[in-house]
Amino acid sequence: MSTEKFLEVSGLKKYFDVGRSTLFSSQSRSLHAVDGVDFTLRHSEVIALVGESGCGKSTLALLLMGLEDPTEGTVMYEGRDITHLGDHQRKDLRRKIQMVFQDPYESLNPTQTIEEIVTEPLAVHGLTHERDERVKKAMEDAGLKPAEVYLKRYPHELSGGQRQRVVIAAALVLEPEIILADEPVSMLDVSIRAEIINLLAELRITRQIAVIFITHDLGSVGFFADRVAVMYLGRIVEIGTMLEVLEKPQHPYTKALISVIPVPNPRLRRERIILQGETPNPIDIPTGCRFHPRCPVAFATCNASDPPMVTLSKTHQAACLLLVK
Amino acid sequence: MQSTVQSTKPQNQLVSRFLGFWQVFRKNRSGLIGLGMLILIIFVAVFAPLIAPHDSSSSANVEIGDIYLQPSATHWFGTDDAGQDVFSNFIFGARVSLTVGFFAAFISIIVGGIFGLVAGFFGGRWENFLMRFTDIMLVIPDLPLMVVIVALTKPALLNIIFVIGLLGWTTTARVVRSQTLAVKSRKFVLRARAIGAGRGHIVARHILPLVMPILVVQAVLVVSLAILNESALSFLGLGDPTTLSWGQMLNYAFGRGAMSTGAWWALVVPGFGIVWVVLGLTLLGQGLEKVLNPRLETHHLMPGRPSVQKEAGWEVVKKGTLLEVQNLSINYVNEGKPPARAVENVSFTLKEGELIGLVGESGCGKTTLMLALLRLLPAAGQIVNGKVFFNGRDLVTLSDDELNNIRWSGISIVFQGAMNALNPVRPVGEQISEAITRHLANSSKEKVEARVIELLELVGIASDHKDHYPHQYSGGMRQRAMIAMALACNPQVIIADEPTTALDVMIQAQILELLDDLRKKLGLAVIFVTHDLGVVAEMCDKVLVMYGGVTAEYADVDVIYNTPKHPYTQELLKAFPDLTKPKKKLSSIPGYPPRLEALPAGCRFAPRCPAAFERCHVEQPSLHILADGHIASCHIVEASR
Repeated sequence: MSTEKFLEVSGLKKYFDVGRSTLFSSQSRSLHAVDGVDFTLRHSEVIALVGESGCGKSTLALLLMGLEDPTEGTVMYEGRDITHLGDHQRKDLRRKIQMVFQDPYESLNPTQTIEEIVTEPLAVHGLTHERDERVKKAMEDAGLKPAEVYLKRYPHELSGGQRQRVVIAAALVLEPEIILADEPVSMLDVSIRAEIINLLAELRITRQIAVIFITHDLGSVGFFADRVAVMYLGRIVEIGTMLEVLEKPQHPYTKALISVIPVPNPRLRRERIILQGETPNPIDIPTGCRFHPRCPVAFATCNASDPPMVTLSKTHQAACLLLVK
Repeated sequence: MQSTVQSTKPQNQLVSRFLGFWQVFRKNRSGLIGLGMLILIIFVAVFAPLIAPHDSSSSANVEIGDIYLQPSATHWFGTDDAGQDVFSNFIFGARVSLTVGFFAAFISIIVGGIFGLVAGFFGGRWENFLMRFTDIMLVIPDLPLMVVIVALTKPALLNIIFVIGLLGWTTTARVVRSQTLAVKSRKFVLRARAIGAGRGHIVARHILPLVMPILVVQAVLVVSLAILNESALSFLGLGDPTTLSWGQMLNYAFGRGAMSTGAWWALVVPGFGIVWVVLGLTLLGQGLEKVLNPRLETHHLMPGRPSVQKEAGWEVVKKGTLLEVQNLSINYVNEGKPPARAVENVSFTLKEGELIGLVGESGCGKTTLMLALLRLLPAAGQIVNGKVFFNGRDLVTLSDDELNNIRWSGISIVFQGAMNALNPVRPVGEQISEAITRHLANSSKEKVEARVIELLELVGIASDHKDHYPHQYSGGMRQRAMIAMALACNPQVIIADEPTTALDVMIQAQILELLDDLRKKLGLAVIFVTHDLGVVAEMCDKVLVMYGGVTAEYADVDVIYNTPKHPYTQELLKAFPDLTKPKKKLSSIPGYPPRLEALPAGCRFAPRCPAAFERCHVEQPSLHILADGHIASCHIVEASR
C-alpha cells in the first residue's frame, strides 16, 4: 500500500442555516452537521466511517462528492484542491470518485432498463468508445453474470442484492479510483450483505479502488476495512487501524458501539454498554466534550473542556479527556 | 444491416412499453368505455361531411316553414331556428368543440407543465414567483375573466382557444410541481448528480419519465374542462360567429325561442354532445389514472375470509401453551394464475412469557404468517389450511366480531417502520389513548389519560412528550411509542415485526433491552420477526427459521446457534461477521431467495444449497422431528437420522 496522501480532508465543516424567522423576530441558528473533520485516504485503501444517524457521516459523503459546498476546510485530491470547483472541472473529477447509495430500491430510476442505467454515466461523460464492452465488463465485475441476462430488465424485476450490484456497476463503468459507499448493505438481508461486502473487497484488489465505507454497524466493517474512523456529532472521535479500533478501543463511545454489535451466539452473553438517549441534535452541541451527556465514564471537567485528539500510536488517535495525561 | 438493428431498438422498447400499458389498461372497464366514447365522437367529427345527412353550411333552401320542425324521417332530430338540420349541426359542431378543447388543453398542458417543472425542479425564487402567480390565477374565477377578455378581443376561434388555454393551466402546474418535487427527492436523482449529469439530462431522463404519466391523466381532464369552458363562452354569446359549436347551438336555441316553442330537441342534442364528451374523458381519465398513477397502488389490509380446505393433523393443545400454530398454509390467489404458496405447513408454539424469534429473508413469508395469525391478510391472501389456537380457541374459524375482541387485547402487533405506522397529524398521546378507548369502552377521561402516561413511562418516554407529534420524536422514540400502543390493552402476545430494522445499532440495543424488560415485567409472550439472526440470539428462547415460505428449522436457541442441522441455518450463521476473527473472509450464500411465482420443484433452498443432491431438486423434504422440539426439513437430516 502506498503511503502517499491520495485524498486529504482537513478541517472540513458544513453548517446548515436553520434560522427561523417569524413575523417579529428572526434568529439565526446553524446545524453543525460536519464540524471539523480531518483524515487522509491512501491509494486502494478501505476506510470505514462509523457512527449513528445524525453524526454527519452522510453529509460528509455529500461534501466529498461535491454535492454540497463545505462551510470551511479543504479537500485535496492527488495534491490538488478540489474543495470548490466549477461545474466543468467537477464533472471531470466525478469520473474518479463515485458513490453507492444506501437504498437500492430508491437509487434506481424505475423507468430505465438496467442497460440504460449502466450506460448512462458513459453517455453523460460522452464516452462512446467501446461502450458496450465497458458496460458488460462493469456489470460482470459487479457480479451480474452474464450481463446479457440483465440488460433488458427493469429494476423491479431484480432482487435487492441484484439492484445494489446494478448501482455498483453504474459506478464502476466510469472506472473510478474512489468509491464512496453510504450504508450500502443496511437495507439488505443478512445473506446478501456478505456478498456485497465481499464484492467491494474484491474490487479494491482487482481494480485498486479505494473505498470509503459509511455505516452505523461496526460489525460489518471488520473483514475488509484497513482503518476505522468513528464519528460522533460531526467529528471523528477515534481513528485507527481496524484491529486497533475493534480490539483496543479507547474512546468510551467506540467501546459502547462495539459492545452492542449483535453476536449470533446465545452463550456469549456479554456486558453491553447501552447508551441512553440518542445523538443530541447538532444545533445545540453540548459544551466541552460533545459526548459527555451520554458518556458512562464522564467526570467533572468533561463538560468544560473540549478534548483534543490524543495520539496513541502512529496510526491510532482518540479524543477523550481520560486519555490526556 | 447493423444500423437498421440499432435504429429499431428504441422503437421496439416504446412498443413493448405501450403493450405493457395496454395489458393493464384493457382490464379497466370504465377506462375502456371512456376511450370508446371518445373515439366514436372523434370519428364522427373527422368524417362529418360523410356522416351528416344535410349540408349544414348552406342555408340556401331554407324556407320559413322549416324552422323548429319536429324530429322526422328527413330530420332525425328536427330543425333549428334557422331551419337547419339539428343532427347535421351536431356532427359539424363536434369538430369545433373538439378542436377548441384539444388545442386549448394543449396550451394549458405545455404552460402548466413547464411552470410546474421549473418551480418543482429549481425551487427557490423561481418556485416562489411561479407558485404565487399560480395561486393568484387560481383565486380569480375563470369564467368571468374569460368573458371579459373575449369580450374585449375579437371573439374569433383562435382567440377563444388562447384565452381558454392560457387560463386553464393552474391545476396542471400544481400537480406537476408536486410530482416533480416528489421525484426530485428520490435517491436516483442524487445518484445521477453524483455521476456528473447536468440539469437538462436529469430533467429529461429522470424527472420527465416519472411526471409524464400524471401529465397524461391531467391532460385528459384539462381537455374536458376546456370543452366545458368553450361551451359556456359560446352559450353566453361569445363564440366565434363564423363557426357553430355545441355551445353556440345552445345559445341560438336558447336565445331564439326554442324553449317557448317547445323545440326541446334544439337544446337536448348539443347538450347531449357536451355530456357525452365530458363523461367519456372523465371515464378515460379515471382509467388512465388507475393504471399510470403510481401513488394509487392499492395494498389495503383487508380481513380476508379464511377458506380452510382440509383438516389439520394435530388437535390437542398442550397445557401452558398460549398460542399454537398448526400446519398453517397461506396462498395468494392471482387472477388467471395458479395460487402462490406463500406459506406452507408452518407450525410453532408459544408459551407464556416466551420469546420466539422468527427469522428469514425478505419474501420468505414471515410477515404473511404474522398477519395471518390475526387474519389481517390482504384480500388476495387466503388461509388454505391449518389452525391457530389462542387460549384454546381456533382463530381461523372465529367470526369477525369475536376476532376483533382478540386483536389488540389478546394479540397486538408492533409494525415495521414506525414513521409510517403513526398518523403524522395527531399527537402521539392521542393516538395511544385511541387504542385504549377502542377496546376499553366506558373508561373516564382521567383514567385514559393516566393510562397513557403509565404506558409512556413503561416504554421510557417522559410524559411531557405526550402531546408531541410523531415528527418531533426521534426514530427510537417512535418505535417506543409503537410499543406503548401495542401494550395499550394488556395483550398476552406481542408480535414485533422487524421493530429494529431501520434503526441504528445503539437504538436497536435500546429497543431490544426494552422488549426484554417488558417481557419480564408484564409476562408478555413475544414473537420477534427479523431477518437478522444476530439480533435475537441474546434474548430469545426458541427460533423458527423460515425459507421460501416453509419451515427450514425450528429449535431452542442454543441448538439453532450451536448445532444447527439445516444447511440454510448453517450458511446464515457463517454469513455473519465474527468480531473475534475480524480478518476472516465472510462466507456468503450464492443466489437469491426463490420468487413465489417460480418456486423450485423440490426443496425450496436446493438451488442455493451447498449440500444439495439429486433428490433435493425433485422432492420437497418433509418436516423431520430430530428431538423434542427440534424440527428440520432437509433430506440430509433424514438420511443421517
